Amino acid sequence: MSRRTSPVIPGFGLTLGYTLVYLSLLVLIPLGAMFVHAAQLTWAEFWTIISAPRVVAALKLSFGTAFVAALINGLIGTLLAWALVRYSFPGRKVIDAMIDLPFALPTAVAGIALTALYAPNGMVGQIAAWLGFKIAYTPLGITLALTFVTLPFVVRTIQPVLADIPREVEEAAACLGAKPFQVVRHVLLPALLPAWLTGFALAFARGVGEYGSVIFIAGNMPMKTEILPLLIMVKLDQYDYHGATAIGVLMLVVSFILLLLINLLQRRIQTP
Amino acid sequence: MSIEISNVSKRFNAFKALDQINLHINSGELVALLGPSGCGKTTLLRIIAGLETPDSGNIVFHGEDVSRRDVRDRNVGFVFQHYALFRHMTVFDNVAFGLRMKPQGQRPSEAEIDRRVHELLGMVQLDWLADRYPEQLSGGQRQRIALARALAVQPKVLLLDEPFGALDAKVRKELRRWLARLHDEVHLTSVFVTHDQEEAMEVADRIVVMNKGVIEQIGSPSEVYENPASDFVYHFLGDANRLRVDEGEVLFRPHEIALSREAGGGRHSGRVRDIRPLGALVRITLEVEGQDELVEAEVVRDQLLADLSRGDQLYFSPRC
Repeated sequence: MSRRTSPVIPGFGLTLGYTLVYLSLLVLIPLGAMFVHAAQLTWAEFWTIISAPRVVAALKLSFGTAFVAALINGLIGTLLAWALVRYSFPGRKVIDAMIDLPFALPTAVAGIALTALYAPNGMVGQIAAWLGFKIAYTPLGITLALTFVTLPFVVRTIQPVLADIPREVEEAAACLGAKPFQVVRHVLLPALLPAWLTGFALAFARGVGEYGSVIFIAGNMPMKTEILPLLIMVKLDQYDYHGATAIGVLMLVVSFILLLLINLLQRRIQTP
Repeated sequence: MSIEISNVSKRFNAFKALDQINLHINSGELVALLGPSGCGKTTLLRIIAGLETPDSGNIVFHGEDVSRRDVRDRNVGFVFQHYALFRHMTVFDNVAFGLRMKPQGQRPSEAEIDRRVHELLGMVQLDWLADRYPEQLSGGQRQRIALARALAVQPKVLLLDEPFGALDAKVRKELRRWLARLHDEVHLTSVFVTHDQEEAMEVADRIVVMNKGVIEQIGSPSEVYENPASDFVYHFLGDANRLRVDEGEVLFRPHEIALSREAGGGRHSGRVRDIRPLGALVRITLEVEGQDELVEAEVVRDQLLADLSRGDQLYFSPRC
């Protein structure tokens, strides 16, 4: 290794050591402990727990709603970031600051507020009831809560990238005869895609693990509106620690595989 | 293709960017819009391209009014100061972009696109960079790729906004000579914006000197240099000395001066303040009694200068 240029942060050894210790204490050891605990189960026992219909239903619900919520935010978040970066309008700074509020607000507060609004007797819920469908206490309500909680991810990852694309690039494309949709399709979206995928993955991962805001609006009916994190809590309440860790391991493995896939996809589309 | 600009005006809120601009550009001509920053030259270029709409006035390409026509349909090549290359695309894809965006019926086959792109990259002498990304290129290379990209759609007019502004001095010099040569070969009606009078002098067939939203003078490089229409043009096109005399003031360029050790013959006196060798010439700065402004003389090295030193008394007369 060349020693001619010394990096700003001292020593490779020191930084790596610090990173490993930090990561171990906060992430690897707790997760490892969970695996160790789950390892007390035989494969057959493990399989019985995770293939129970109630667990499978919750698995589908958790990952499904998190996926849809991340997609919705992928769309709305991109538009929001676009409006914030490309236009100046009165109140832009205030709106920009408000984007982060879902992070600051206790998720339970968000859940209760959303439930009050979207329950069949709430302000918006009444309209929905009149139109013949329910929002709160359905997967739709869960998706809504997750959309609220994960809103900042896509906006905040897209914003700087978008600000970095000069207007001239769009003008250059127009001079070359590209129509507006071609500019979006061939110039803007490819440039935004890596950041978009990051935002999407963050929103998705957060949505899968979200607990506080969802339990209020979900109604928590087994097989219908019960999410995986809640199921873990239910098992813990029943002193079924093996069951809880088995589900924990399941969530972790599925999430890890999905995030890995997104990362690989991202690497493929990223230009050097 | 000729360009006719008539009565074009443009305001940005209270700021008058262009005021009643009239300009005719001949087919195949290379014209420089020259002026200080904020003079409206870039706005005029963008209006010709269709990137900006004038508040009033018309743009006519070869007898055809294009004022209301969208930038997409004007068939102009535009080269931006900061290149505006698509950074997620390779050099090849950047140059091919315009061809690939054509509607189905007019789009050439991929084989034809491949041939045309390589031909253009050959023309800008960068064929070997086809698979690189813009980030991996130097400024001069990026600018040539931007030019190749603009030429790919066979525009009828080429517009360049400060094309060499972001490059270092040496590359800038090379590239503008190269551009002048290229223009000699393809004879595409071209307009470029610059604030550098040397650049305009060296490259352009005609120079349009602009100031504060109006055209000060239009003419060949020697016309605007030798017969400036206004004090502004005179000052903008080169260094100038101002000498106060009884009846008013005399303007003359540093090389338009005769120096002598002897008084008399109507010569003015000055004290040597600085002596700087500039290659073939020597610049002598003189302090003149009765005025704060210094007088600069750029003269060929000769016997007179051999033993000249600071503080010496010299006599000079403007030759204009």
